[in-house]
Amino acid sequence: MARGNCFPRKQSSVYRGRFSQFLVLFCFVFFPYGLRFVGSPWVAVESHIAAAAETPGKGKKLLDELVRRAKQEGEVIATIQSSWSKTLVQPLADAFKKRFGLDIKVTVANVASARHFPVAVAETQSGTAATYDAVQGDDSETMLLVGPGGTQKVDGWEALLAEINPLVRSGKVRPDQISQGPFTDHSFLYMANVKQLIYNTRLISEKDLPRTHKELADPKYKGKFAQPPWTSHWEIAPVAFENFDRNEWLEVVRRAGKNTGAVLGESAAVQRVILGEFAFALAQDRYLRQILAKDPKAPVAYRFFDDYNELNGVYYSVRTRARHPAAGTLWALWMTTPEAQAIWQPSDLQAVPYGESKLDRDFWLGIEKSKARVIGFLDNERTVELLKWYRTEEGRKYLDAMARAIRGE
Amino acid sequence: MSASTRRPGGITTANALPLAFSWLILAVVIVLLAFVLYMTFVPSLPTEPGFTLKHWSNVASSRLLTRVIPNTAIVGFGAIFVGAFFALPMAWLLNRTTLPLRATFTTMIGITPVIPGFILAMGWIMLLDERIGLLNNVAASLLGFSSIPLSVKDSPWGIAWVLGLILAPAIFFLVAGPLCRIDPSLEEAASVVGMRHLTTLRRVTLPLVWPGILGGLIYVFMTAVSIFEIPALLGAASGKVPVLASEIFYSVRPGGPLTATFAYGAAGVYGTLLAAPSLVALYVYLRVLERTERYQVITGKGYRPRETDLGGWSWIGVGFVVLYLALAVGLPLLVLLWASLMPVLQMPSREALSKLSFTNYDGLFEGLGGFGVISNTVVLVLSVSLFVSFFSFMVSWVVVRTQAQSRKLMDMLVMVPHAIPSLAFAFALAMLGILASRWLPWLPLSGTLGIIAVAHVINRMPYGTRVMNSALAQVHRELEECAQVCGTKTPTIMRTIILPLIKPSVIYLVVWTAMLSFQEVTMALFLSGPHNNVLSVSIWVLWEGGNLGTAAAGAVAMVATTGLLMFGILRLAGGPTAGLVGREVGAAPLTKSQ
Repeated sequence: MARGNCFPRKQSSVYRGRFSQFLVLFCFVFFPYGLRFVGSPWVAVESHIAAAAETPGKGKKLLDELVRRAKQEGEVIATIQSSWSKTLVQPLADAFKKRFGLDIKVTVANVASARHFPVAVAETQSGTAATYDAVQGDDSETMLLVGPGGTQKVDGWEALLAEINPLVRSGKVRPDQISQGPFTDHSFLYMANVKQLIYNTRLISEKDLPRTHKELADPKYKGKFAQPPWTSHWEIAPVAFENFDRNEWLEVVRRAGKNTGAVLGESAAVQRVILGEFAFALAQDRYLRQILAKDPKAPVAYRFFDDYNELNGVYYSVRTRARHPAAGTLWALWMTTPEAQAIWQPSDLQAVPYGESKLDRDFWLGIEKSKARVIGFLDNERTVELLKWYRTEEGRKYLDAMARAIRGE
Repeated sequence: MSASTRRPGGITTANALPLAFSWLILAVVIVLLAFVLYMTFVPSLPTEPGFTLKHWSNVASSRLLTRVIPNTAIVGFGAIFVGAFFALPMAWLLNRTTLPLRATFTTMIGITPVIPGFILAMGWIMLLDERIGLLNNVAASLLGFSSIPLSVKDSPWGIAWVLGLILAPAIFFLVAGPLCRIDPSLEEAASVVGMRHLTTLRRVTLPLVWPGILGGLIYVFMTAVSIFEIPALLGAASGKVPVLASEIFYSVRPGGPLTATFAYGAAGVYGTLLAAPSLVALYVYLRVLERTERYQVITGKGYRPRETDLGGWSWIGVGFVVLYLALAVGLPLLVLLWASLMPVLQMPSREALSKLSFTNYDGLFEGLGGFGVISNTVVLVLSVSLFVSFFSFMVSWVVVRTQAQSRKLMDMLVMVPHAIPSLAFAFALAMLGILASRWLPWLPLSGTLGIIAVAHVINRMPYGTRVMNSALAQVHRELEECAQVCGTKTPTIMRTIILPLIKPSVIYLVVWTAMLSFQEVTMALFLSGPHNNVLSVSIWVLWEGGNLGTAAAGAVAMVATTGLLMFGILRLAGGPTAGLVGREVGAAPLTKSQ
């Protein structure tokens, strides 16, 4: 994933206002070649930076209008990750209101998107008002909601992002790094995690760990690992291999499923790894960080697979028929900012793919160092097609079979 | 027309009120059941058009017959065996004997349902596991083996053991009420004809409380086969010990969020499969209740129970109760406490001991959601326990005290929700809430505390009516007939005669329902919105999000608070055991010499 590198990493309010506009212009004039090095098409970068440079007026106007409407609405109801501490609710609400000069009621609830989204889809289909104005979910979940029209388009989203998010305004982050592919102008990336192996260093050495997903089916790992019931460790495989055979892959998943010691949610699985019940678990990176933050001496470490590792993006969307659409839009866009990130990231420890915190840098550094092959659903046309295919009847059936195969069926 | 004027079907005008309230609550049950059944014929969401039989055809597999049903039967009957093994002797010991510390023991049994099931399962994994089990390691080192291949995991017997421990209080509370009210004259008569204590217990006491026992066993069976989280932790989730509950869960949410959300119809199908054996058991139960007069032990002549003085045997009784409490309460509480003091859960060791701290308790109140969550929980628990008690009393009155033609149907209907997976019920309610907000915008249902309360009330009615049925079955009709002759109206008879007589059962029901409502997660989680979060959901969310330490700290606080509250309530109510009926009067203990 491309990242802009032309500015000092440390962010502060200095980027707001005229100084940030000056920096954008400075970067535009003096560092065009520097921007090429980050690997994204120059034309797109140029147009986005130009847009960012030109948008202050337009963005400000749009933002002022949104703020005015949000004040009229008087409330916003948004979801946050179910795993986030409730102690984050007040700081997030206060910072949000302060940023936009709002004096409205902010209700923020911990909601597991997989649990809420079927209700949200039903709300959409029945034409009733949405329970939440802004909701968050990962690639697959967001696709589930975007597909049947459960999210609404944000008009002028690029200009608004440039106005609200200093990273976009400064040109360090392109708007399409935040909203792209099938989610363009509907959903906004604000964090991500990557799937990997988390293992107990006292029970297994790094060299004894499986190198590829296929190796999980090796009898020598029987009963030694735990994996979650969901398919996100396996579902990106069709784009990871050149000559992919669906049935063959299902058989791999099934054999690995029969080898599995326990099918558990990722966090529970990691806890059982630390207890010593299992040698390793398939889980996402943040659980390792969270464990080590609580107990630096905990006997855990991670390893990426050599064949592929799925990158799971998490997005905010504004719901169709939201009761407070303007306030919901402000929330969804604001959550992409370093200001919001500085509140939730120290405790949640998930990375922001376009962020500049130490954690974000380490996130990419870890991937680069290990030369891990990280694939996200919005990486290219092929991955996007796969994401869309999983929404078809055939795709759903395939995922169903995969989920059953995880449990060895 | 007099209060006792009969109508066709055996209904008097005096019984019109209970009948009306019964049908009110049953109407909600019927609507929800119909909706769940309807979902089994809908391809995806109920808001989408289409008709399908695929949910029904999908469940027909050889695996179902060869593995799922046998495992489920082992889990169900095994849980009954374990539960009854502990609960029946405890119910007698704590309600009909002079065992010391009865108040404390009963309170502790009441706390059991507050302890999250997954904590108990984790506790048993830490104790009995081939690799990390503390008992296994101790036994292995004593016997000189490298490991002991004994585990609660990946075995239906292990699941039955843990579920039986958890569900024993359900049988205990169902049997305790009737046991308190047994007419001592029957036991005295047995004593006069020379029956020994054990024979009296077996041939007089147990048959008299048979409806309570049978109701409890059916309830435990239906609960054991429908609980998901404990079998899931102990091997069902990985497909090694598939049971009906895990099949339901994974049919509804196969794992992938893209597909997970659209198979709710499968839950209804499995619910029907679960309901079938339960309805057979219910039929047997109703046959027993048909001969209600056999169990009427509270008459107008005298009903004060006597307590057996166990003498020197009382310490064996204490040991038995302590053994149960150690297995079902002590162990999980220790695990909870340990987890709450550890930064990251680890097995006990010298190194782990050096890491103990109270960090997880810092900012706990705020972390659980603060005052809003606490007040929501209090309102929910109080309202659910009161509504369940009220409606259960009304339904049971019609079933047990009237000759209404519909009474058997009512008793069947009110029991069916217990067989329907709570996830399916919650989904049906959520859908109805959405539709209501479209067509009846004045009806505040979706996202309110009310919708969770409705779900809990419907879900607890089966247990409530079992308690009330067995309690009312024991009160002889002569008491109310006497009052009717004096011109007393039915509501007054209920309030001034019947309710005081069945007070222990009512208090047990209120407390037990409150406890169950307090700890229920599945429905509350599914129906939760921005404004109706409750404590159990907050703790579950913490656990699910990987914050086991904080979740454990929350659970410790929850158990401590509930324990104190329960202790206080039972004290205020006059005592937690048999004294609720007769101890104030102080009938002389039935000693061995008598």
